[in-house]
Amino acid sequence: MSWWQKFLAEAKNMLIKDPRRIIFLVGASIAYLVLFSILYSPGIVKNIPLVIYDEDNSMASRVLIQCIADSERFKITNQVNDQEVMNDLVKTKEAAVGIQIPRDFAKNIKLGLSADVLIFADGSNLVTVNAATTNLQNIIGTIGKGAGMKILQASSGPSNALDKVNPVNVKFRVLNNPTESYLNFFVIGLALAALQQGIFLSIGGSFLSKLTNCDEEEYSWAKLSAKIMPYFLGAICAYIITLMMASIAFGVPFKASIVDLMIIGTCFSFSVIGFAWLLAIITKNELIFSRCSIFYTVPAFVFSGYTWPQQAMEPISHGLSMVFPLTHLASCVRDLMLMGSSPVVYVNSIILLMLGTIFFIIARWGYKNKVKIQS
Amino acid sequence: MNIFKFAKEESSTFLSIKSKLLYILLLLPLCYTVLFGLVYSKNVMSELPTVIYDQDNSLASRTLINMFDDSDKYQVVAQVQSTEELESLLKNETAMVGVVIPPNFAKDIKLSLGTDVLITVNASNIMYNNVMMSSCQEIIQTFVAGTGEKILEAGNKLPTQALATVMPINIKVRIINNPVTGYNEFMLGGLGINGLQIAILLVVITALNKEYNKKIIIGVKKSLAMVCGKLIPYWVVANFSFLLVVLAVHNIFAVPWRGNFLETLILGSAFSFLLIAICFVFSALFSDPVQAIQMPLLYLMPGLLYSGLSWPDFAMSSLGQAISAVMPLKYVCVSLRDLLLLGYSPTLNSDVLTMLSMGSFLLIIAGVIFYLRNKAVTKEVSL
Repeated sequence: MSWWQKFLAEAKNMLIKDPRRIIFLVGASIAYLVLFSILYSPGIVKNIPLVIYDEDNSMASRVLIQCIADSERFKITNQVNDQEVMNDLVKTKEAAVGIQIPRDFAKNIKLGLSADVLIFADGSNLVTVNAATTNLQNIIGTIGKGAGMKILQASSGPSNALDKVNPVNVKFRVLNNPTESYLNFFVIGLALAALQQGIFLSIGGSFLSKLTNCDEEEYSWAKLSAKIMPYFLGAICAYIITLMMASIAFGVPFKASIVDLMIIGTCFSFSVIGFAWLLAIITKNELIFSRCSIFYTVPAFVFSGYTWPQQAMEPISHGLSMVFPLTHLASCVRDLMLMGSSPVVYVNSIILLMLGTIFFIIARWGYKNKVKIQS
Repeated sequence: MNIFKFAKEESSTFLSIKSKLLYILLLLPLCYTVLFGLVYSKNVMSELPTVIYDQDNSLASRTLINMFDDSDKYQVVAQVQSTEELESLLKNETAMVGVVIPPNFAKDIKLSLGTDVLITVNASNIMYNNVMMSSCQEIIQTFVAGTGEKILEAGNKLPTQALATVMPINIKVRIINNPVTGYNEFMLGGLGINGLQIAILLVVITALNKEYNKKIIIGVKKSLAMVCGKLIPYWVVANFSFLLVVLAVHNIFAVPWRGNFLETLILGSAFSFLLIAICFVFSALFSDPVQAIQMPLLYLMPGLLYSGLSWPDFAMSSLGQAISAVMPLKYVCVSLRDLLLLGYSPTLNSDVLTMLSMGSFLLIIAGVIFYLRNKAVTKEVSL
């Protein structure tokens, strides 16, 4: 069988005889992309349920409440008349945050005495508590500056009042994801994790169903490349489709150089195919292979540093994460998409190539032995 | 009576040393918990690499820099002399936060002219942005209050009066349930339960379809009895596994466990019941165990992320909420975290009831599917 015949035969297996393989290979990442885009479509956490306990009921306190109500981040679910009730609502999770405006809030401000506003938050969900406290501090801080300015204007005239109250103005510049969108942050990595899973399952199907009737030539590098090539091309197509869809259908920025994206995507596909083949050699049958690949899915994502950065991991986890191909791809592709460049694109591509080469060499050696033993 | 006979039969294969399934169900969730606990062992994000571009080099600017450097959230990795250098360090991710202090910073403060400090953050990973936004406020507020107070004191105001003018509203933040905002407290329980879910999937998915090979037609009642009987050994071991996860989360990674033991066990038990029932449906649907195991595989990550563990339920779109409602982890992850951190879960009863009723319904469905498919497969062979 020539190289082309072998290639076409395997492509036929993938597309027609066992269409499950192409469905996993191309469909997994697209399915994840759509699912997670639905989940993260609001972009940021909005409508955080908030309870107000306004002891003052003054003009100033109502201004503060109005500012909170006007923010898309919060949804005032209750206004209560008792601190206990506010605490209970937060504790029973009917509200994620409570705001207590003290008695004499307006009076204390006017008299130049500090007034305390209490933010009482449930910290069990960090995504919510971070969004809530940061935004409330901003809102209250802005109102505080305004109030301080008025006090000063009343006592010493309008000149420079704001600069005296707020001598240092802090401006924030959020690069690469200025809207702080979770959609931009999350979905690419998740779709790439699914792509990895798709490659795994299709390669597993290919090697484990064919292993028993291999001839001597089967494990020559030429024949192997013909067998692997359809999956490799399929993986690259899936990678391109996923990124294009992320950008066109779901509005994820696409600032990357196509060459860089293709380089790292190609190296990743090569590496994952090697890894999947190695796993197929180690495992006895497709059932065990599927079990192993399921076991691998979630740790590969968590260890990849996509959410919890590698710099924040302790050395063992950091070391372990380096073996997973997804570690070298996911954050890098996100940087490429959002920033337009990644400082590690070439280094990671080389690491992926090296990992892939090692996987292939070991897998071929194991494959050869396994076929020999079986024959 | 049949139920116990089937339970005994299933136990003999499931618990046999050769099958190794027992080890998977007992140890895989524990292994996940330990692995993820190690990843999050630092618990909070700290020492964000920070670059400073100080164009003033005054006492005031150095005080501000020291405040960043003294905070455990920041680590000053470089001080640069130009905006280009700063941009370049942010671009190559040597630093994730950049602080630019303008020329005449101290002078403008003294002259009450107002001055701008620019803080730039690389937010491609939102974690950095979240940590910076929440911690930076404290530093800046303290600095602003200190400098503003001094200015007003110089204008003949008393110190307390000056401070109250600069900070007329004092914000006090009280975070309950996870006051250190630790990541282990936030995620580890849910990730451990996800491990349990995966273990149940791996082990239970072959429980019914292996019966198709026996080619014996059995009636609906017997099919239902078989499904219930087979459930028992898996359910018992899954409960042990659940407890192992909770104990590991609590004892190894010091996540508080303020909830009642019995309530926690009931929650885990209801979850295991539901998940085994789901796996039985898949197992009955696909006679090939490989297909049965591969079908729910793509659900793993969505199952976790739709659970409300990280992205809260109220922030989901209506479609997102509808999808989330069919994910078993939705009914356990947040409740378990509440039991651990709060000591109770406001949704415990409804979650347990939902899982038990969904599980019972699916168990019946699995029995019926098994009966129909088994009949079809056996007839096909006999023909």
